[in-house]
Amino acid sequence: MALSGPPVDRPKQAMYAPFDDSTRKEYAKFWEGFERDARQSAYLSNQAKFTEARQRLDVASLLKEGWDTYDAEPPNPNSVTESGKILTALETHNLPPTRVMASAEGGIGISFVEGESRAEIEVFNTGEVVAATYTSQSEPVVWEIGQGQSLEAAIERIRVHLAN
Amino acid sequence: MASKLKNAPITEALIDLRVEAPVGTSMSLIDKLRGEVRDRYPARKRMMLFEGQMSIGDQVGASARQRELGDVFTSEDGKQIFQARMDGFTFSRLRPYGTWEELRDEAQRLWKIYKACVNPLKITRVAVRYVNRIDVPLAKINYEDYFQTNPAVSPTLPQGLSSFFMQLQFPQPDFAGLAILNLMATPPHVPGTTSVILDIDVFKEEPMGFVSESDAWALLEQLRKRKNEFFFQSLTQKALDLYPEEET
Repeated sequence: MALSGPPVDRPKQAMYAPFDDSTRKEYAKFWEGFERDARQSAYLSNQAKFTEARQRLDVASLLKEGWDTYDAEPPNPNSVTESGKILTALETHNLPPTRVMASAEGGIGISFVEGESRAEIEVFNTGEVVAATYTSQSEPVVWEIGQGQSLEAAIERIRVHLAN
Repeated sequence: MASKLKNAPITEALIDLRVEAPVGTSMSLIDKLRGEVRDRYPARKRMMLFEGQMSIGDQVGASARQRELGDVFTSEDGKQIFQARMDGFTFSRLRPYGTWEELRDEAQRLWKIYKACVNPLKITRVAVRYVNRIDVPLAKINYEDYFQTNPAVSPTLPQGLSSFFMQLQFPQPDFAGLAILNLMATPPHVPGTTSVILDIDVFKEEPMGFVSESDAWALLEQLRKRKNEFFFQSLTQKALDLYPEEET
């Protein structure tokens, strides 16, 4: 009887020799079908984007002082944990971010791009969480999350901004 | 067999039709769609396919190209997604799922708009696909307890799995189609729980084209019925008990 268990860390790179052509073609056929099926599903496409976002968050969490070659603080554990929670909330609302990266201001930036529309959620090392929406032709609208505005309300506001 | 579950574990339900578009069909036809669906699907994103190839051996090289596949239109709440591609049409409904009739009727409404813009020559494939996420409120489970179709491991091997992906393809001789069942472990949203994706895709390909459009839509009803059989027969009663039947 197969039992579920915790996932394990895998090596980042396989050490296998390259496959020969016939093997590669067999795998290519399989993956082509699999990729097309995954692309057809909005849910599975979003899942892939969230996996990538979490990997980027992991990478950002390993940065050291001065990571931007100036004096930027690395994201602290609190901002990384909060960003993880925000990614979970975004996943529940099916709104994958375009990018997750360390912020030069100290913390994590979660950004969204949809055509000309942009939005950001910044999670600062100080514990503040700020959201902003803007376009290339308009001034940003900025507000603090947690000060009378819930995260859920901010996500909906960002979604509506990106949709229009 | 249960007919309708309360709070069913459906994360996505979709209807997909593949078509053959007339030679020379361009993205400008898909562009025309935007005005027709903008009221209910205000967000639009272009689907691009990037293809790259690297070669090693006697000659080392790389090539890449990109092409436009179509557009993805999303409703303001992000729950309904409509893909209008040069090679077909997909309508998806994300959680919370309503009813099959709602899904089918909206797909039909959008299909009419798609058809008027793209003018497809024929429908070559129809599919019904439901992606379910089964969340069991336990950190560790025996898959057999919840899934009648499950990853059986040789009893002489260790039984603990950190992850798995299983794909089974079942021919459907009565309508000359195929049912694909994907079962895979997925990271849970809530710590201390176990999540598994049960993805059922039932389809029929007709390279020469379906006899009529109404035939294709009628077949969708049969595909949906078959999908339900696969869903209910893949789960154990213990899994179904997580999602009680709706009172009628």
